[in-house]
Amino acid sequence: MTLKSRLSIFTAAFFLIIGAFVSASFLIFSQLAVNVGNLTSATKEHSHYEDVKYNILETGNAVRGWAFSGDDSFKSLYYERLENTYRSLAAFFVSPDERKEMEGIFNDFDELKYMANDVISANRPVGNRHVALKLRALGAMERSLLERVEVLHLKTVETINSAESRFGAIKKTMEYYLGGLFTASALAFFLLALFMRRMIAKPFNDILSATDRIKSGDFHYRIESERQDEFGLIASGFNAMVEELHRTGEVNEDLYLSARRQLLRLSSMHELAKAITSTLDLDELLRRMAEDATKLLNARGCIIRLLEADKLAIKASFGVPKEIESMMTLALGEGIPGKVAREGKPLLVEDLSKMPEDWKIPFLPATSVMNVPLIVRGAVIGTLGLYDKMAPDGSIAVFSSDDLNTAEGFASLSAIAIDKAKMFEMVLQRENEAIEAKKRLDILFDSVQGGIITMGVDYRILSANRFAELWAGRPVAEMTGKSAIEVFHETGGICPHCSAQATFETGEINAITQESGLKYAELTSYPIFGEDGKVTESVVFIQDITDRVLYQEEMLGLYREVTQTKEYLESLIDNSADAIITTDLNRVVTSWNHGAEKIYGYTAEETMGKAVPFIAELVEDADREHTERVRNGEVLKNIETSRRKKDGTIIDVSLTLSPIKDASGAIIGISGISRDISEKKQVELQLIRRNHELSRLFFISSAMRSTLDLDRLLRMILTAVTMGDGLGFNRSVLFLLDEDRNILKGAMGVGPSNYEEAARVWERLSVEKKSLNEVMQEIETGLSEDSFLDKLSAGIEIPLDSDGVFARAIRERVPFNVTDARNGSLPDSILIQHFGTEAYAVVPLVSRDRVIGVLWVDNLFNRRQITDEDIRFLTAFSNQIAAAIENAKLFEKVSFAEAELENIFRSISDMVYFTDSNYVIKSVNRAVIERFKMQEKDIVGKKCFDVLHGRSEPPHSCPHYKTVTEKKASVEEMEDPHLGGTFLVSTSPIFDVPGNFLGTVHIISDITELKQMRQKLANAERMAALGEVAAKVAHEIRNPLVSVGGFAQRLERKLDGNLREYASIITKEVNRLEDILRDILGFVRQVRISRTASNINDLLAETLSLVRPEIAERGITFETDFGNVPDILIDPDKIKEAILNIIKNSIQAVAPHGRITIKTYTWGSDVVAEVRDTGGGISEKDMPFIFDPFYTTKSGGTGLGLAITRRVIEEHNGRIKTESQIGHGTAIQVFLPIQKEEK
Amino acid sequence: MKILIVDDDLHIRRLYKEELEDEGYEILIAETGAEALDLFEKENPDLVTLDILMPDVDGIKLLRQMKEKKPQVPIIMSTAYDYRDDFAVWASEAYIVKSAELTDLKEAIKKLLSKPA
Repeated sequence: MTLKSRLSIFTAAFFLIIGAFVSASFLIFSQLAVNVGNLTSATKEHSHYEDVKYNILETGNAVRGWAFSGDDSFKSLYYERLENTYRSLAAFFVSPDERKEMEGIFNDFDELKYMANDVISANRPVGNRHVALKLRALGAMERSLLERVEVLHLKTVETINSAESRFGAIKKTMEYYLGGLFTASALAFFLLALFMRRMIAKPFNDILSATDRIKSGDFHYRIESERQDEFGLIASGFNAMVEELHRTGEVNEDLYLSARRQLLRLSSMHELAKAITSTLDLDELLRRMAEDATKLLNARGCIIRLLEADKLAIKASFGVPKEIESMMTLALGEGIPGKVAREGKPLLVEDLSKMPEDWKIPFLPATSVMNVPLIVRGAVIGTLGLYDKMAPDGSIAVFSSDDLNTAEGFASLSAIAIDKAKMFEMVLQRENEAIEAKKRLDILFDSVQGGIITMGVDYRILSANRFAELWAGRPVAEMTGKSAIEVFHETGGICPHCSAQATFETGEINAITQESGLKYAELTSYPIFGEDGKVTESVVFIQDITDRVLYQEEMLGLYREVTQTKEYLESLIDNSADAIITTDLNRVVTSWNHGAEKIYGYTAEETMGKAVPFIAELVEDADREHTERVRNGEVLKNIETSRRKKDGTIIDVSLTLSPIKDASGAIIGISGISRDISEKKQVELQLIRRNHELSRLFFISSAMRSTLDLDRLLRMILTAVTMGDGLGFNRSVLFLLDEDRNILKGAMGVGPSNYEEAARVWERLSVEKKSLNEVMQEIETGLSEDSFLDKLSAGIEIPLDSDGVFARAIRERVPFNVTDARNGSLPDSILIQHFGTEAYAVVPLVSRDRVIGVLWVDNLFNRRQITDEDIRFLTAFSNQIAAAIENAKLFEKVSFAEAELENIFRSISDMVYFTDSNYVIKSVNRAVIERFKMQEKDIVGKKCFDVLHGRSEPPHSCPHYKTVTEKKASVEEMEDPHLGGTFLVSTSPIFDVPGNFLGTVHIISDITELKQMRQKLANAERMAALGEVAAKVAHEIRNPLVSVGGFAQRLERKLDGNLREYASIITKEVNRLEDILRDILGFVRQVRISRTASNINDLLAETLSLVRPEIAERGITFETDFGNVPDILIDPDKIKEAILNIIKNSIQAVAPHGRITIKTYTWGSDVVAEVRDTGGGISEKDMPFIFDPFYTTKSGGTGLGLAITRRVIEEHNGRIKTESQIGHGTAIQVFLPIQKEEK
Repeated sequence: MKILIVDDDLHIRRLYKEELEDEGYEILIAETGAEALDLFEKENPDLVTLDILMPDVDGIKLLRQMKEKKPQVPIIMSTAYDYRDDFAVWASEAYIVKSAELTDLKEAIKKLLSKPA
């Protein structure tokens, strides 16, 4: 086989493999494309369904919008939506799938649209019952439609999903395919390569290896090829060529060998240099140098010396007895090496025996010596000496200048190597030292009693010791390399990076104290500077200083506590109303509070550091004695004694003295608390003064009579009772009698709530100096507010059947003065409980011989005893109080009732007004004013027929006229152009007690809108029905008309003369007819149904004849009971249909042999048709819906029967009543109003 | 241009055919819904006029069936009664009330056929 055919086979195989791969790829991609197609169409359908859903919903919303708002904009919106819906539905005509279902949806939407059109054509949709019904049906239809669309919609979703899952399958196939492709191609190419190697590469390799052999000088080699192909030819040619080469080669061989030797020496020197420079151990290096130099230059031996402290010591030798090494240390300038080292120049001595004595080398017999300096960076570091060149035959030769050159070259290389090795040794030593130092540091690092963390400027932890673990809560290994912010942020404890941050910024040592849980740490960061002087790292020492801190905290807390107690005590002392004074043991004042200032008149500044200033002369001895007793540790309580004030007056005080002790219990001072009790002794004087002020009380009572507001009045009373200017009690509470419940109820209380407030109030009053007069005025203008006592007393209820003071005060109508409630004979536990009082007085309030309540007073705060004088005074006052309260209560009742009536009258939305017996309007409510848009004063006083009807005489149709003439109440529906609408007018006469006719009261409600709505609803219904008939008629007439007119036009065009004129006449007349037809249709679309006077009995008889066969067939007993009823104005066909639907329902409800009874009768102003059956009845659950459209409990029912019935009955302004009992039957009554004439 | 006229009235059909043939259109005629659909599919008319109220088939239904098959063919609804507020006809391209004056019809046809497909 030739090379060409082999290559052909190879190419063919290659294309075959590629082809297979390409076709497999096509297969997979076509599969993919088909799936993409499927997915695209499904997605398109999907969005169409979305569209349809949206449009149907929007259409429904537009209809509802119209129905709920009556806004015309919804109408146009509706048309727009409708169009959109049809467009989106039409889009499906192209879709091949689900055609049948879409047709159904299209039909349903038509239905929906008919309903919607009904709603849209209603003139007043808002509140229209029919519209509401339609809307309900429309809603149901809309939902079912949407559900149907949703089903289709979901199908598209499924399609999309399945397409997507198919994508998955394809993807998997592709993966397999690609995997297969890779393996197959690898295998295929491997096989191809094998083939190539076997058939093509091997012959070439044969030739190549032959070439190599020949290249290396083997001219005897021949290729042994038996091949008959191109390779065979090449082999034979090649062999011939080698033969020729072999011949010329032998001539050149000698030349070649000499050149080769030179080269060998050079390259060996290069190798040597490479070898010595690669050794770093100095001793080994020198030894090898000596050996290599000896061999390189064919010398007997070699000595290498290095200069150390101006001496040249032998460091290495070769070919020299080892023992002489130590004996031949030379100084600079000594011997050949000394000279070479000093001069820095090489020396070559051809025959040493001819040289001076000092050149000789001791211990070493040498003839020829060559010495070269070892120079590094211009400095001599040693020498390299070689002696006795050896000729190949073993005799000693002389070194040539060539040898010197070679030696110099070697030396220069060696010098560098030695220097390098020396430096390396030095570095090694330093490194070892560093490692040692680090080990020592590490031990130190870990054993320090505190955390140490090193971190870089990026806060990354570079190292940490064992103690740092305690703070970080994790082992060192997990800390290093991480950011300190992260490590310590997680533990929520200390923050070494915060400390380091300052160090990084300032480059200085920084220390901070931090808290971690219950521990405290002091963090000190030290900077570590880099070579450029910047801070590169920071070492942070963390020391646990918890104990130290805790100790400090404890001290601080203690200090604070003490300070607080001190402050508290000081404020207590300072704010006390009593005088609290402390002195040392010598009665020198050490503190003086506000109370003391107030009582004694001295300020703290005047007394501090001086002897107590207030001891009255007559008690000096007693005081000394008291002081002595206290010094001995005694506590003296409530001593009554006298003191002198700053102004010289003597006051009586109650004094308590006690010793002040220091921490060790030693007495260091005296504290005294004194209270001014002079006031107590002045009570009697005050009483007398109060009597003098009786005149003022007259003012109080006159002020009270002037107000009728009960609340204010009560407050005035209680204030008068408690004011110093008035009766001067501390507190007073008013209880009023609730006769219904037989209890006393707390109504109001006046007085301070506690001592502090009492003191404050009294102080304020004394400062402001308000007179009773002024306070009364404040109350009158409502400035005072509810007090604590108000709230307290409002909750109190005291039953009167008890035996307490209150009950007796009411029963016996006498005042009580209780001096000790806890131990007395008349306990009233409620009082003690609520008011915390022990002494109080109670006075009954009597008005017009009736007890209306009780006034309660006490002197809780100043503890003044209530005297008989007080009681007498209070009793006298109480009569006036009672009268005032009674008046105020009555007034309140009347005004409340009046306000209520007024309110009702004003706010009623119907027009209400009163007239006198002569039609003159006396009073009108707001509705009347708003209706006529007139001022009240312009209406009141006018004749009612003038204002309401715009007439000069009362209209006889007005119920008012009837009421006036007949003196009876009257109700009438009335249409009045002046009032503008239809009204329900009711009038009633007003009589006084003896029975005289005083006037009338009128209530007028506007029912215009209601009436109009009813009318319009009925109209719209009729129009719609007629419209459908008209459409059919129009079709029948218009079609022939178009034919006649159309052909007449054609005739007109083809004829001339008279005939043309005739045709033209036909054309014109047809046009006219078409116009008329259009007008009529336009009119007819407003459908109208007329009522006729019919008798319900006749209609029922006709209806029953329709169902009799079915009744007989089912074996139902049928009874009729037709009463004598008047003819009524109804639409007979519609009413028949309505009642037929009821009867049909009954027939279906009753079992065979059941009973159906039909009755007619008159009921009030209605004719009633009643259908009663003995069927299963209607459940309570179903009851509210049975008249709703599409509501059915029967399997085959449409649910429209009773809905139609209700619509019909409502159109007739009638009503339906249903009674049903499960298991017993159902009765449905249809009420139809009797009307004299139709309006 | 091919126009399919669907109407149950014999005379109307003839009138439309003659008038429109005078205008130079090729006219197909169908009386029933089935006939109309058959011609619509086989003859590929360029436009259809359709009566809404026909005894055997509801014009609107027919409109829908045609639109399902070839939505691109314009359809003119013609009727004896004003159905303009019947929104099923929105699926059609034009709507005219039948009249002896055929100007409305002719204008509608001209307009729809001159439109680029």
